Amino acid sequence: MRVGLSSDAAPGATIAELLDTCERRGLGVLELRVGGVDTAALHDVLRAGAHNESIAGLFADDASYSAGLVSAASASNVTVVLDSGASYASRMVEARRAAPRGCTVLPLMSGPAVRWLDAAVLARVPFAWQIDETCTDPAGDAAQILHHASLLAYVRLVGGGPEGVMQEGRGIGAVMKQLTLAGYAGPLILTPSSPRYRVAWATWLGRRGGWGCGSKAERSTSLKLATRTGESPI
Amino acid sequence: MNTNERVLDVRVIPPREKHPTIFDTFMALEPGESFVLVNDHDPKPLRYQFEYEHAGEFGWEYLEQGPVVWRVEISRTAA
Repeated sequence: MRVGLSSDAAPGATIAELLDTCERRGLGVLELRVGGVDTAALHDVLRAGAHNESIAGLFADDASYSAGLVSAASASNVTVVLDSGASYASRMVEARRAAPRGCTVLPLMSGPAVRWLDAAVLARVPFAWQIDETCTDPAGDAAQILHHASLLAYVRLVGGGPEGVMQEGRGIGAVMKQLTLAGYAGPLILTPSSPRYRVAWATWLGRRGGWGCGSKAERSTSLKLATRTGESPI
Repeated sequence: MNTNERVLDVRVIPPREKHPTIFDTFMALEPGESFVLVNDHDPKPLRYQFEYEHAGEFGWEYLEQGPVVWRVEISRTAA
């Protein structure tokens, strides 16, 4: 599992700034929204190939989908996640149709797994799973999806990062446990649920230390007071 | 990096669910199995909790010790 960041978390940032932010925050990979980052710069980055290991995927919707960009991603061996507005079944068809030979275009699947998983399994289509507010039982869905773990190629967690505290009780811990035990090795992308959390994300991404888990990390910046040798402490 | 290793990145998990998730994952391991815990601070208190609740049943090996990310391989030893 490689936890990463969506470029939606820092609108307006350049790709270089996003890569730097990921490194500073200890996030292994970056997802770039087509249309959300500078297209020319995106082509340059894909062409250069210097950051392919750090780019988990390109995220495109119907409006931003570009055959040229998908081809460029293909040449760089970068995955494309396609958020097609079509029905669940046609999302898989759309993803296959959108994929040039050798390119991985994953349909984005969201909502209760019971509505789409059987179709994906029947068609043997690898997919990206999005955990968002339409997913009412993430842990139950994870259990079903991981029965077909080879098809799960990408995970997006909408409302992760600094919004995580608001996810309490939704079963995200249980999802993570299941992904871990299944040996899921793909990306898990954190992305904001709404632009209204922009400040929270900016603050979170700017921090170097942890949020803690009920315990405090040792901080190298903390002051240590010591008495001088030979003097009595005051 | 071994892509088949089991990784539990607890930075993703809501704060109050972190420790229960870690212990649930540990309890699901067979003896000899392990997972790599990823955290944004040194999980020393977690280790103390392991020592208190699972003395002699776990292995703890730091793979990376900050300053941004801590990785600890937690294994289940034979009971």
